[in-house]
Amino acid sequence: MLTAKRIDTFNIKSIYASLSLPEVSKLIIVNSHNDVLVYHKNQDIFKHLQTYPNLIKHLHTDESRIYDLKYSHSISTIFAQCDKTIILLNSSNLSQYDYIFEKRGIEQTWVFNIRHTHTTDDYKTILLYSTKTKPTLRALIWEGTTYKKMIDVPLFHKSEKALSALAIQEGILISTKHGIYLWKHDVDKLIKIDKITKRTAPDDMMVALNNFKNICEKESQGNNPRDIVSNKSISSKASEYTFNKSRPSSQTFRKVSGYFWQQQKFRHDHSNDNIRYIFKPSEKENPIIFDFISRNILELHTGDDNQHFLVFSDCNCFNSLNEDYFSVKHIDLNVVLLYNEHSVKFIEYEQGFPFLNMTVDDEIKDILLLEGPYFVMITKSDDVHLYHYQVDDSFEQHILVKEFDFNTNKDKELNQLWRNVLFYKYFLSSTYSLDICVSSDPEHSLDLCAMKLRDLTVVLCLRVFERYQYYLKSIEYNEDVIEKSYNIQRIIVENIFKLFITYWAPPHLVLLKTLPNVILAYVMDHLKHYDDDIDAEYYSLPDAYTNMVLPKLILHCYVPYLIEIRRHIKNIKISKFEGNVTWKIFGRKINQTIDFFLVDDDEDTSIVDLLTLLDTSLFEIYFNYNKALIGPFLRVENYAKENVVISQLKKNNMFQELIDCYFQSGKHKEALNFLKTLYLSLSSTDEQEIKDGILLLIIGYLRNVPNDFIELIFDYTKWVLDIYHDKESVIILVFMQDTLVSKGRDYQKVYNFIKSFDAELAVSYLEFTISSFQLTNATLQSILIKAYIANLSDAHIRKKFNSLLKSSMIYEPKFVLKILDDSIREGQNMDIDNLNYLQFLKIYPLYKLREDNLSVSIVYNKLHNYAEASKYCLRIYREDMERGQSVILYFLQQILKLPASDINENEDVLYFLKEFGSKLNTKTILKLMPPNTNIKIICDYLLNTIETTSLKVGDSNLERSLLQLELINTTNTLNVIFSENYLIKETDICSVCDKKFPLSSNDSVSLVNIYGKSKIVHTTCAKVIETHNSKSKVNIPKLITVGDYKDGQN
Amino acid sequence: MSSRKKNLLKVIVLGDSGVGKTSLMHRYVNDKYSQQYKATIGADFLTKEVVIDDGSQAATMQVWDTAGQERFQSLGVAFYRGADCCVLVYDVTNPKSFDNIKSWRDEFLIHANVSSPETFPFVILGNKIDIEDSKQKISAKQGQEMAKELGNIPLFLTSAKDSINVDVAFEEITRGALQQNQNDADAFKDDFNDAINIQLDDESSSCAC
Repeated sequence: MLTAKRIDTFNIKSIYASLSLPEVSKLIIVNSHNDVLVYHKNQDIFKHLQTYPNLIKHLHTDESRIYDLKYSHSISTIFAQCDKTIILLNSSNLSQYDYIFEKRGIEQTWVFNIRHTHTTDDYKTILLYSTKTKPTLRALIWEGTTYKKMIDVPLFHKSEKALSALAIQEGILISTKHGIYLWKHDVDKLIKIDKITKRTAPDDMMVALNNFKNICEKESQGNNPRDIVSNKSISSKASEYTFNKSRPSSQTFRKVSGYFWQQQKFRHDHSNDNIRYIFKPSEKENPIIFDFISRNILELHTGDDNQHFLVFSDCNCFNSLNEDYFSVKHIDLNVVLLYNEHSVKFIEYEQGFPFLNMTVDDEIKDILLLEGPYFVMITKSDDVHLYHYQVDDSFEQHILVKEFDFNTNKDKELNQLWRNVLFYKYFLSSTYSLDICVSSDPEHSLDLCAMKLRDLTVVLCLRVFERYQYYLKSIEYNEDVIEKSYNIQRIIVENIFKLFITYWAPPHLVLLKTLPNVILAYVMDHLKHYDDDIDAEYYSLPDAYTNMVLPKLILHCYVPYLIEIRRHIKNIKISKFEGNVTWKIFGRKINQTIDFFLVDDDEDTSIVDLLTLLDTSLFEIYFNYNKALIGPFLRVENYAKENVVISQLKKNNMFQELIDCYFQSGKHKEALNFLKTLYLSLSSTDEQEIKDGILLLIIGYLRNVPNDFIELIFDYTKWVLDIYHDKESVIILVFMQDTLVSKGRDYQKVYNFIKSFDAELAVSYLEFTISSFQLTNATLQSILIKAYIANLSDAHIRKKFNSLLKSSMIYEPKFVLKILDDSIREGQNMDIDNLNYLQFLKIYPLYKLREDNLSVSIVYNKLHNYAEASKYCLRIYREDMERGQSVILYFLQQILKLPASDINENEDVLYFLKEFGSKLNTKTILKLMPPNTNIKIICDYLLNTIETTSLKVGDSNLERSLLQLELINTTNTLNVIFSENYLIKETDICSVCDKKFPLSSNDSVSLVNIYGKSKIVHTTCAKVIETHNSKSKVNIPKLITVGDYKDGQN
Repeated sequence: MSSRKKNLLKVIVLGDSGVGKTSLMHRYVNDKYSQQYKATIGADFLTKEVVIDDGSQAATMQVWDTAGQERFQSLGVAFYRGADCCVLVYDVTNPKSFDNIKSWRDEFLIHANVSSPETFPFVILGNKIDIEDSKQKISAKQGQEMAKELGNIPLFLTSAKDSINVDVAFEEITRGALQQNQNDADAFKDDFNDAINIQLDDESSSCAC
């Protein structure tokens, strides 16, 4: 725990007021002579800097004494509080720059520095004081360093006094003996916060455990609360009442709470009636009211309707505070400082656990907090002591045993753990962690503390869980009670497992201690049974073990823990992390290995062993409580003990999940064999539906088995084909699916396999694979084309063959051409029609090879098919005009190759000229035409050409006219632009001085009116004219500039 | 105490690295697209105010983008807790990303500890359909078949680059998330009891007993 060491002491006679300035490490003290002494904390001692003798005498005030000092860093001001005046002193030299006179007298002052936003350094400073003669509060507000305004608000009751105040986002929160008020910014009245409520359920594990304990004790002792407390000490009675407060029934609660309240009042015979301290721990969203008057801890909340209310917390803090205290000061996080005449305490404010406890011989007058782990104690004998507090482990046991009166040893152990956990959390998260750590290597020591906190937290959680189970057992697992107290149980278990997740609790320990026996027995038994390297001890069940947890909680709490821990362990397994993972806790980053997840006696356990334990437990939890997740779990990488999983799934007829498991582990033969055996075991016709279902499972499985197991796939597909009537469907479902698995198959093997059953279907398979997977495999294409050629008489096959060669982009044209040529050569006995069709098909690979002339030659010369040749030429022409014109020209040459006598009877020439005449140059066509060509033949063509040419000429003329018009318009625009400017030539001379105009751009010219004419002159000359005209009263208009001239033109 | 309703919809976007998760999110939330690829580190989220159907309901959608590189190894269970909808994204030009959709779904169900996997809303997005057809390796039919196989999950073919179908897809995501959210909200209870009978007024000051 913490110990405070006195590191400096000095004495000042008759201390009246004191002030700590943590921001500048200064201490200011005022003595009875009104001398102001300034000290600076240098390392571990105070150094006297300066004394301002009888300061008040030198100030502009009639006051005779300074009662208190306050400091605002943002306006560098020290406020000296006197009887009726607050004097504003410059903090650097204590010179007065202003004062505030309050005729009602000043009771107490507070100063708040509020930063506007986190991103700027703009501060708002509020000086708040209460008055003596009237219950009034006054606030003076500065924005930045500028004073802005003053607001007064009256308190509600006569003689009501403010006890504590805190600036919050909405305004200032003020406590008095009569209640809590909020003074909203810019409003001149206080809002009393009347509404006090409490959480429907505690959010703390320990409080929830106590609540659950009370519920169970009440149940087990016949609903007689008196019996519960009858044999307890006074302090334990109080403790019991505290537990009773949080019973879920609000009606009951009201009564009990009132009684409890009176009990508290009755017990409370101290005089801490002036402490209702408001503070805001940095880790909390809301301010806390530490209320000695009602002996409660309250938290300010804001509802959805923006109404404020106080939330009453279950706490044991005041049970341990049986002394009077002068004052409370917030230190850091959840720790507050309390002091009275002879003792100083640092306590965790919610439970009252002491973190520091010191007594002093002198009577304490005041304690001031400094920056860092230091405080200043001022005694009544006017000694000023500087203390430094640090962590000292050796004090742990002593303080705890002395401070707390526990019901049982178990309570003591639990509370001791709890306190230690809270202390180490404070230690690690404190702003001053490094400063309070006594070590030559504080960083390393803090890492060790984090590990210690982890151990303590895990043990605490396990103890809490043990107690939770104990209470459950005490009510003999009464279902009604369990159901009614579900929420409390949820909080206990949920918090335990949240902590297990945060602290990476060792899985073996957690599972052994918390897993319900229905699951753990199974997991352990099976792991022990099936583990090859048997470690019976590792998998042995703890004695007398009867854990029972509600299923909802197991799913809600255990599963995330198991998932999270397996994630960390898997990360360790991943080679890139090199066996390390970083555990982040309270801002620390500590590298951990697999050892972190092991307990001392299982050092031989490997990563896989741990993963097996985790995943098998996870499987069992899913199996028992959420079967829907078994499928997803088994489909992803997992280490669940295979035999355990298979055995469970088989036993429960979960076939789909079973084959998912087989599939994930690559045991395809086992999966298929299992399904086959299952199928064969069913014989009755009544079970046909089930048998069909199993066949579908087999087919579905075969479809997804990777190609490495192709022979296995064939074996089982063959078996299915033997017993199932719709063979085509089976083959399609197994092999012809557009999936990555199908894409990775050995196509030729599959083709051969299918062909052995159905040749036609085998061709379909090739068609499917080639088109779906865009295959360029020559062998497959060859097989497919040969299959087509073998059935060329079939119109449907012809169509497919044509379509394949015409539209497919993936085949190798030379290869296909060779197949076609070979087929034609070898198929001389083939039907002529088929042979011609094969010839025709050659145009598709030729097209890809850009052998257009050859294509046209085949179609036109060999097959005498003008229409197809024309179609081919047009297709080429549309795609590529130049390439098209070349093949069209070739086409014409082939047409004209006919004997000369036939030219005038050749209709192809007429068709050609009609279709392609406009696509070739007329002169080229005419040159190629034989001399004996009848003019009638080309008459229409020529007329069309003339007409087309005329139209083109007309279009060109029209375009020329339009361009000329555009030129005129553009020229006109240019002239207008020119006319707006006057170009001064080198030869131009000024009309006044007869000198040339300078070409330097720095000189200016002006346009002036001389005798009714506009002339360009030097600007200086223009001024001369102007002066001359004004003297001679000649009415020369104002100096005209080029700009004016332009305006005039416009 | 007035009843409080959770109106924050948590949507988690999953998928292989480079499928366009971040781009889709930015297109939906900011209507922006960046050609530059920048791998997400850990997880990142954007929020958008959404109005559902006839405007009768409004909610804040929190879209969580994840790093696809390390799959589920980098993010803890807390990240997935309370998810209202999961968006599975694949790249139509990347068959592997398509093939991984199933395991993304399974991994999500496990990590999010979904109590009813059958009813939990998933939406599949086949992204990058702006890329020329010849480079698209996953057809719409393949996508539909898989969506059907996974339990009739809604499928949208999208382009974050050309803003195709992104809004429509997210409308569906919102609907699914809202439905899931309402199911969860039914179990939601107030944090605090009604006001209780404690007076802070110091009555002892007037009575010393």
